[in-house]
Order: sequence, then C-alpha cells, then structure tokens
Amino acid sequence: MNALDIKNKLAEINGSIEANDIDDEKSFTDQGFGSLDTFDLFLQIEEELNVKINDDLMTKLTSVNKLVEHFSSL
Amino acid sequence: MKLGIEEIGYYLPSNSINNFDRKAEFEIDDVFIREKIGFQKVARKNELEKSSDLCVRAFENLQTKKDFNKNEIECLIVITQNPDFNLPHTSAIVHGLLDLPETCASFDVSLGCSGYVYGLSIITAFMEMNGLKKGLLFTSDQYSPIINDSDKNTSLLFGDAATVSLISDTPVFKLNKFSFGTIGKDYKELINEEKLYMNGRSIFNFAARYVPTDIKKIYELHQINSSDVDLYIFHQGSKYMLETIVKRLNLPIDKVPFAAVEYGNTISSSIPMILKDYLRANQVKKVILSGFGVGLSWASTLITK
Repeated sequence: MNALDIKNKLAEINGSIEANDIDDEKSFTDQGFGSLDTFDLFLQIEEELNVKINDDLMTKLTSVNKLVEHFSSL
Repeated sequence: MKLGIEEIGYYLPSNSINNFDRKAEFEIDDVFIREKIGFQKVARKNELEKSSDLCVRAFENLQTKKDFNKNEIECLIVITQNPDFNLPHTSAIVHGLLDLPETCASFDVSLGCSGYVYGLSIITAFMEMNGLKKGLLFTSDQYSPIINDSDKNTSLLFGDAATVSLISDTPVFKLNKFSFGTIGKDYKELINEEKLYMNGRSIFNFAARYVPTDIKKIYELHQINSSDVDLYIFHQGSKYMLETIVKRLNLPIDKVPFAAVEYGNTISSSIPMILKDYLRANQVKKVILSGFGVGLSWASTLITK
C-alpha cells in the first residue's frame, strides 16, 4: 500500500478533500478528517490487506506517511 | 393465514436537545452534526415517564389511525432493554394500562436495534402457532436515563421514542423470509454497566461489514436483486453509517431514507418510525428492513404489499 492508494481512499471517503491536497506528513485530524473518516479508512485497509489494526495501533498511525512506514515494515 | 403489519402508531416526546447548542461543549461543528451523525436534535422523554408510558402514548396514536376493538387483541410484545422494572415484564404493565383482555398473551423481548425485525418474526410465529389474528408489537427502549450526558459518543446520538405495530390477518405489508445473526464475543462494545458505553469504531466496523452481506442474503433468499426493491429502511445509527452501507451496496441514496434528523437514533423504534410513513405509499411495494446494533445483533427481512 503506497501513499497514493491511501490518499485516494481518503478523498473518496471524505468527498470534499482532493487526493492531491492531502499532505503526507500532517495528521489526518489537522487536515479535516474526522474520526468516522479514519474508521472507514482503517476498515478498508484491514479488508484489503486482511490484517487487524487494533485501537492502540490506530491512534499511532495518524498520517499517510506513518501508515506507509508501518505497512512497509511488515 | 398470512399475517403482517396493518398499521403503526408512534410516540415522540415533545422535548428534545438541540445538538447545535452543544457545539462548544463537544468541540464539534455544523458539518459534523449535519453530515456525520446527522441528528440535529435528540428526543427526550419526561424524567418521570417509563417505558410503559411511552407504549401507551404510541397505542393512543395507533387508535387515531385505525378503528379496532381492543378486546380483540390476543397478544402483546414489548421490545425493550430499558424496562420499567427488572420484574414484572413491561408488557404486563402495558397490558394493565390498556385494560386488555385477560386472555391476551404478553411478554417482553430483550433486544436493541435489531429488535423490531426480530419482533416481527417472533410475533407472527407466535400468532400463527396459536391461531391468533390480532397482536401488538411495541418498541419502547429509552436510552436517556442511562446516557452519560458528557459522553460525546452517545449523548449526541440517542433519542427517546416508542412505536406499536398492529399485526393482523388483514395486513398492508406481508412478511417474508428473515435473516438473523449475532457476534456475542463483542458484546462489550455497546453495553450499559453503570452508564451506556459504545465503542464507535467497533460498531461502525460491524455495521459496515455485516449489514451489506446480510442484505445480499435477503436478495438471494427471495430471488430478487436490488432493482426489485422500492425502499430500504435501515436502522438509523448515524447518517455516516447509513451512507457507508449505501456505498458498499451501491444503492441509490433516494431509496434509503435517513429520517431521524429531528429525533435521533431511537434504537428498536428507528425502523417503524420510518415505515409508518410508507404504509399508504402506493409506489412502495417491496421494502427491505435491516436492524443492527447492541449484542452485537442483526436482523433483516423483506416485506411486500
């Protein structure tokens, strides 16, 4: 899963933020994504990669880059 | 004998809490209220009103819509997890308040958001088994006494209401096949110990994963596809949750009403609160109902005119 995949998912989920406008470093919250948006994002990632992301881990994976780094290290 | 839903009465308390007045308290904005949770107000009963009182009000509304002799009522079920007392069962209290015949069977069913759909199956099976022709299915589950008012996850969502469906052998909507399910290992994700607790992420994941699959099962059970269905009435958990299910099933949004804007998530009452408005809609002949939530539990069915 690369950064573009994640940004495309986020843009589709939110509907009002373009993928190109999403900053890889900034937190999802600081860019206007709410908790429900991130629930949806993490659910899609869980389903696509067939993994379980627990609540503790989710609170640490707060940006596009952090997500990419985490999954590239697996 | 083909039993089904003949009429639906309801009661919404006149008091409510306006979620726009709580923006500063919960650090939320208009978009969150309008587009995410979708509930602009949540209905609140009077503190002294009990589950049975709301049932009686719903029954009074039913009587304004349908002229029938209450001495013909042969069974009464109340769906609630917030009964008047641990014992006796609330349905017995409602039976007494309505002065129904002594031969009328009365019992409660402890289910939440899946309760109405479960209840339709239970009451019709009970009536058919015993040759009964008229029954009352109440939903009356008020969360306001168990909500922690400072809990953003629940206090902006849940509203108080009650409904009653007249089940008879002269129905407007006939019932068909049902699908049910339970994930008991996740029961703690929505629970009332000292106060109501909800893990929002778990409930969202549950609804997004399981409800679309169950709707597809209903298609298969009835040999239909999505274009055959005129209306989908899903439990009104939140606007965002409903829209997520709609996206996953690729449904036209105009077939899936989100109608609880002014009163909130009313648990087992959420489906009949909407269905009551479609009993006389001639163009609406096939409706899929799906309730899901506490348990975790779900139930879906197809009803037809």
